[in-house]
Amino acid sequence: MRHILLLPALLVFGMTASPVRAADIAVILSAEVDAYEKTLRGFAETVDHRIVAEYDMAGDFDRGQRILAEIRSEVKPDLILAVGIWALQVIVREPLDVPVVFAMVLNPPTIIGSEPRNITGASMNVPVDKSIQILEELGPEVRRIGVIYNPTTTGYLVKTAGEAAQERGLELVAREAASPKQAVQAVNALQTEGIDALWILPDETVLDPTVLEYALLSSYRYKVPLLGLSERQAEMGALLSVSFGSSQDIGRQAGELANAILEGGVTGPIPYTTARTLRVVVNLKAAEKLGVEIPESILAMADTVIR
Amino acid sequence: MPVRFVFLSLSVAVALLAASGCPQDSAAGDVADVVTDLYSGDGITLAPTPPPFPSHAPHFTASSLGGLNELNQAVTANAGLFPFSSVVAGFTFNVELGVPVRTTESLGPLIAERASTLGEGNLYLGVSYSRIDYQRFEGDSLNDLSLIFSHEDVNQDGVLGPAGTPLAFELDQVRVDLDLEIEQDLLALYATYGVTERWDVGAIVPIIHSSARAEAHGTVVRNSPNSAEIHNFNPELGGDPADSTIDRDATGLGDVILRTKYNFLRDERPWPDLAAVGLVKLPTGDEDDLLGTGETDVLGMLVASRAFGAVMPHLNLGYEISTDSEQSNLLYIVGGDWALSPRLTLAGDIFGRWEPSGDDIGDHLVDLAFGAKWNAYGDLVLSGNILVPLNPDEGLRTDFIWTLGAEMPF
Repeated sequence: MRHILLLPALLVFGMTASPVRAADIAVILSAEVDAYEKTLRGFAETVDHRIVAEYDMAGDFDRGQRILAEIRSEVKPDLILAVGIWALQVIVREPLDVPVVFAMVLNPPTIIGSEPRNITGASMNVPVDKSIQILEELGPEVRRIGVIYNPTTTGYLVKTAGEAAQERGLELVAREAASPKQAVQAVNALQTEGIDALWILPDETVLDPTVLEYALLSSYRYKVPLLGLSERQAEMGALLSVSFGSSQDIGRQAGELANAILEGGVTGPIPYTTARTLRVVVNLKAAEKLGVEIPESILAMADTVIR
Repeated sequence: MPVRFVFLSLSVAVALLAASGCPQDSAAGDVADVVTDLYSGDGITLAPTPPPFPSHAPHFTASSLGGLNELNQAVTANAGLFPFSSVVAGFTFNVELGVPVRTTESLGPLIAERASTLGEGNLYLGVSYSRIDYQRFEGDSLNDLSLIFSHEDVNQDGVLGPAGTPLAFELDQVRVDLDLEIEQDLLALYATYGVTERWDVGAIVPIIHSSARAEAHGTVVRNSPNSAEIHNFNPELGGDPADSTIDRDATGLGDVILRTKYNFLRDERPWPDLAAVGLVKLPTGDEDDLLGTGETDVLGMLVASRAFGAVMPHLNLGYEISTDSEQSNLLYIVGGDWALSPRLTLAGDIFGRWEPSGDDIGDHLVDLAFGAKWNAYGDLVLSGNILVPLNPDEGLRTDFIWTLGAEMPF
C-alpha cells in the first residue's frame, strides 16, 4: 500500500491556483501502469486542490477495500479520485458520502449503474458520434453499420450509437452475442444480411481473439471495412482504428470535473465525459485490399498511417 | 513508509554492512593460496638428519601442487558463477479492454532468462544472498583430501632412488591429509532498466565474503630402510611441524556484470518469444582472494520462452569466451515456471556449463535449481531457491547452494 504526498510543486500549484478553500483529494490507482501514472499527472496539473494521499491497490481488491477503509477513517478527503476500473469497482461497493471522480474507465455505466450517484468521471471511451462520423466520411456507400454487442456490457452504447447513426441518416445493424461463439455467428449473420462497415465495440465478448480474427477475415472476404478500437487492431488488418489519444488528457478532464464539484456551482449529477483527444490510425494496405479510397478528411485526422 | 523506500534502504544498508562490517583480510596472504601456503609455502622441510648421514634438511616438493593450483582455479572460477535472478514484470495496460494486465502469468524463472523485457522506462532493483559451502573436489571430500609430496631428486639424475642404493631415501614420501573448508557469502545487488519496450540494460554488483581454512597433517611414508632415522617432522630441530593450519578470509567487490537484452520476436505464434542477451563480466573482483575470476568474460545467449497459460517453459543457450585466456564455455539452461496463483510461482531449471577444450577438471557442470517466487506485498517479490549439483563428482562442488532474494520495480 502506497501512501505518498505528491510533489511539493504540485501542492503549491494546487494551493495557489485555488480561488476557494483548497479541498483534500485522495487517489486510488488500480495498478501501477504507465497509462495511470500519466492520468494522475494530468489530473494533478489541472486540479486546483490538494492531493493529500495516493494509494496503489496493485490489482488486489482486498487491498483496495483496506485502502478505502483507511481513506474513510484517516484521510477523510473531500473527494476521491479512482484511476482505472478496479479502483472504481472497489468504491462502488461501498456507500460513500464524498464525491468520487473516476478516470480511465471503459464503459462506466456497467460499473456505476444507471442510478444517479455521487460519482462521475472521465471515461476512456471514444465518443460514439465520432466513430460514426468517421465511418460516414468513408463515403456514401457506407449506410449500414454492423455492430456486435453483449447487452450487459455495451447495450447502453449501442442505444446511444443507434440514435447517433439515425441522426446522420445511417442505420446501425446490431446483433447481440453473449459468448464468443455467438459473436462469430453474429459476424456471419451480419455479413450475410449485408452491411457496409463493421464497427468493433469495446466489448469483452467481441474482443475475444477468436472473434476478432474471424471479424477481420470476414472483412476481407466480404470487402467490408472494419473500424477497430486500437492501433493494434489496425496493424492486424482493420481499415481504421479510433482510440483515446492521451491518458494524461483524460486525467485533465477528470481534474476539470473535480474542480467543478469542489468549487460548487454545479447542481444535479455531472455526466461522465468521453475522451476528447483521439488517436486515429489508417491502414492503407487494408484500404488497397478492400478497394476503399480513404478520403483526405480522414487522412488529415490520422495520427498514424500504415502504408 | 513506502515499501520501495524500505526496500532500497535495507538493500543499501545490507550492502554497506557486507562491504565494511567484515574483516577485509584476517591474515597475511591471499585466500586463494591457503593450500599452497601450508608448511611455509615452499614445500615440506623435515628436521635435519642426524650423523652419520649427511646433514641436510630434506625438501619434499609437492608433486601434486599442480592439483592444488587446479583447486584454486576451480574455486576462483566458481566465485564468478551465481544466478542472475530474473525480474518480475508488472502490469501493462490493455487499451482495448481498458484494464491493466499482468505481462506474464508467472513471476518468472529462478536463474534463467526469459525473452520478455521490462518495458520502456521501467526500473527494477533487486538483492540476493547466497551461501556457498564447497564440499567436494573432483568427487573427493574436501574434508578428506590426501596430497603426496615427493622427495627432491638429490643427485639430479632424473630418478628417485632406486631401492637398494644409498639414494633409496629419495623414495620416501610425505603424505598430507588435508581438511579444507572453502565458503563464500555472496550478496548481489542488481538493477535492470527498460531503455525501450524491447531493450533492457542492467548491472549486477556482487559483494563477496570468501573464507578458506586448510588444516594439514603430514605423515612420512617410509619407503626406504633408514627412513625412520632420516625423515622426521621436528620443529625443534628446525624442520616443519607435522601439522599446519591456515585460516584466511576476505570481503570485497566481486566481478561486476553488465548485461543487455533485446526481445526481437514477440507474440508471433506459433514461435516462442525470442531474445538476445549479451553479458560482460568485468575482472573487478580480486582473484587472489577468491572474489573474482581475474578475467573479462563475454557471454552471448539466445533466449526462448513462451507462456502456455500458467506455465512458461524457457530455454537459454549461450557461448561464453574469456578475453584473457583461451577458455570458452557453452551454457544451457532449460526449465520452466508455473504460476500456482498470481502471487506464487514455482520454478525449476537445469543449468549446464560445458567447457569443450577443458582440462578434464570440472569441464561439464550440471546443476538443478528449484524454488519459488512470492509476490508478498505490492510489487515486492521474494524468492528462494536451492541449487543442487547433478554431477557432484565434477569439479569443485557444494552439496547445495541456497539463495534468498527480493526485487521490486521503482
